[in-house]
Amino acid sequence: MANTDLAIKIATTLDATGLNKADKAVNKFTKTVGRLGRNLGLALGTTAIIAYGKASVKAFAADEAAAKRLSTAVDNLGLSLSQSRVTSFIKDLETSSAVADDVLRPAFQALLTTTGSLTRSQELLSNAIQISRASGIDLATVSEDLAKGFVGVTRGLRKYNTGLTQAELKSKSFNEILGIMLARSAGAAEEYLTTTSYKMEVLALAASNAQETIGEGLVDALARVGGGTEASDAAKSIDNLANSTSNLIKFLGSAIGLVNKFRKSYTNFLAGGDVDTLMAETQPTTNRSKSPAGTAARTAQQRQAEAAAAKRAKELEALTKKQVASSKALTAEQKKQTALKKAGSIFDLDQVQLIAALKGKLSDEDRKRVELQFALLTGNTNQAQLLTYELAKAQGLGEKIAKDLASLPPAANPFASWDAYLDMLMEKAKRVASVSGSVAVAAASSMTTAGSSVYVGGTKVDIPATNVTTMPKPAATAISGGGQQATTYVGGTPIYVQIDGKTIASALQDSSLSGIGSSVNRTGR
Amino acid sequence: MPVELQGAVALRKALKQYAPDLAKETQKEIAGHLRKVTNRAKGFVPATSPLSGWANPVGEWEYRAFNAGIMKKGLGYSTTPTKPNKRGFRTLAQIFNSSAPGAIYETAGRKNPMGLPAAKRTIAYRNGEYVPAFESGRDVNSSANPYAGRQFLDALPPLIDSQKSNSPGRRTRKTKGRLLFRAWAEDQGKTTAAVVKAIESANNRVVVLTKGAGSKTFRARSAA
Repeated sequence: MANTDLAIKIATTLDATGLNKADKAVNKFTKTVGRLGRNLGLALGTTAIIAYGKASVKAFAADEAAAKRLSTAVDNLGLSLSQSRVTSFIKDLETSSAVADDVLRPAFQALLTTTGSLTRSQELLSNAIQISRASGIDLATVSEDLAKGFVGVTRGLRKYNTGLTQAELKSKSFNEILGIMLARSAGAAEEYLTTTSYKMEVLALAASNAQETIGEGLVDALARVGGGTEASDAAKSIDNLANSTSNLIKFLGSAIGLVNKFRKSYTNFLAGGDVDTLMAETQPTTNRSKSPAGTAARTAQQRQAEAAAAKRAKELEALTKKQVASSKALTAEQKKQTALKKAGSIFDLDQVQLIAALKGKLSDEDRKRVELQFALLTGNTNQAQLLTYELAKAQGLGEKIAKDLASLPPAANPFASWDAYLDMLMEKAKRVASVSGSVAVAAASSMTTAGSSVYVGGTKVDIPATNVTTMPKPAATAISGGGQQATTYVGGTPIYVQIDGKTIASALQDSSLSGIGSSVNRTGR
Repeated sequence: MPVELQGAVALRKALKQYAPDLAKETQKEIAGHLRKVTNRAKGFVPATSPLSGWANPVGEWEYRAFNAGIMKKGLGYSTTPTKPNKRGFRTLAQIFNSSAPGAIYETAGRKNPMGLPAAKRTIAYRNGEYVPAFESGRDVNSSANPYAGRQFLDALPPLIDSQKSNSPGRRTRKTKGRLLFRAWAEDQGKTTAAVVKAIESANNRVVVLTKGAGSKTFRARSAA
């Protein structure tokens, strides 16, 4: 047979016979399944009820265990008489905050065992709920962090974004930090009560409580069926008698409903009104005093516990303060030690160097310098002033200048003396200029006619007759380097002045090379 | 893309019942058209292996080695209607390439035009310990020569697409080949038209033979 991938189908046709058969078969199967489902529904429903019953028993068992743990913790703290108060507090808080008692009990227990105070624990639990609502962190974690913070371990409080640094968290008291946390989460718990999430939690809580209540009833009933009185007997019974109890539960459900209805009607009839309303208005009394039974003992117990808790809190606060103070003192001491160490090292280094220098062979001037540095280092101002004076004097300065230097006058302009020098140079330049002018005039007259007029710059100047006679111009001598030649007649004797440019350039260049042999030789001389 | 014929099943039944000879004639006529295509495809089978190594029937390549005779034998046609597929369609006429070496020659390079990628080094867990190994499987080239696939493809003629750009249906890699699909591409739909025409004429003759007892519900259209 051909491989379908490697075949070219030229003509096809739809043969729906098989498909029609398949459709019919599927429809038939669907109907059969539907009937089967309806038949199985009852059985499956029974299975679901059994599963719910098992879950209820488990929930009740867990709740009971948590309650027992809390009860034991309260007893151990010496607050056994406050058990009912704790229970009612948890119940009220569960209703108002929609937080399950399964969560509240461990949280409260953690706070109670840490603080030792019933009122403080209640207060902190309420605060924990508020912080939990605001931060979104679960209540168990928040209460644990608060409990730790109460005893000074504030590291866990960082996650609540208090805006405090780690150092501040360590230095501030727990109450201060809690105040900041509460200020930041203010209104969160109240706001949460208006959300749909809260309403859903209320419903879930009600269902959970109903499950626990049903579980309690089931445990009692099934324990008796199992021939015992404990929850373990009930669990065994559920597993062993699942099939038989399914019918029993159904029956019980109906029966309980009927009994409840009958009980309520009958009780209302006997009471002459709605029993729930009447019960809500009446309070149980002992008829022995106006206060409920055991109030005095309970309050005394509470007062005792509160006092112990307050004492412990004070001790903790004092300890914290002491720790902070010691920490500060330690820091200050460390700073001081560091400064001293630094100063000591500087002192050692500088002084040792100077002393070593003084021990060596020094010229008088250098010795004075070192002594001056030593005096400055040691803070000996008189000695420093004296040495400054002597040093200036040794450097060849005048007495007055030396005194001035010693007495530290304001800094003088170092170029002040240049003015006089420049003036002197200018005077000399003027004099040279006047001499060269007369020579030029004389030269000009020698080239013209003696006793005649000469035009200098377009101005006619009369030249008187002098003993300078006009002489024939000597033959020009070749002067290398662009030199100049001038001739002057003094007493009839010609004086030739030749200026060689190269010689002057070499002299200037040598003077600018600072006497370095290798550089001087580069002029080629 | 095959042509869908409506009423072909009824026509076949009618032919067998009322004109068995005509049924045989029709089958023969269709086969004659298909044979032309397969013969053309057989002409594309090379006499010798493109790469000499492929012709060595060694190991797992014993039944896949190049053999022109087997490849030609594998190219055939069928006019017997197939069983309905899962969507209910029956193929009335088809041509195929059924041999292993023919399939290799036909399709090599369809999926990986540059040959399979070479197997990379990896770590395998064997006998309780991790040991260095190479990738394996159908998606990698396990040859020591990393270019084996590409060299093999370079030695083969190019793939020819049987679907034209203006013909109905998709053009995928499954419509490309070197033997059957090349022959079908060169046929340019003439065979399809001839087959449809043969079936249609048979239908008309059945209607005449049965004096209108059969209906002319038969018609052809391109399958969607």
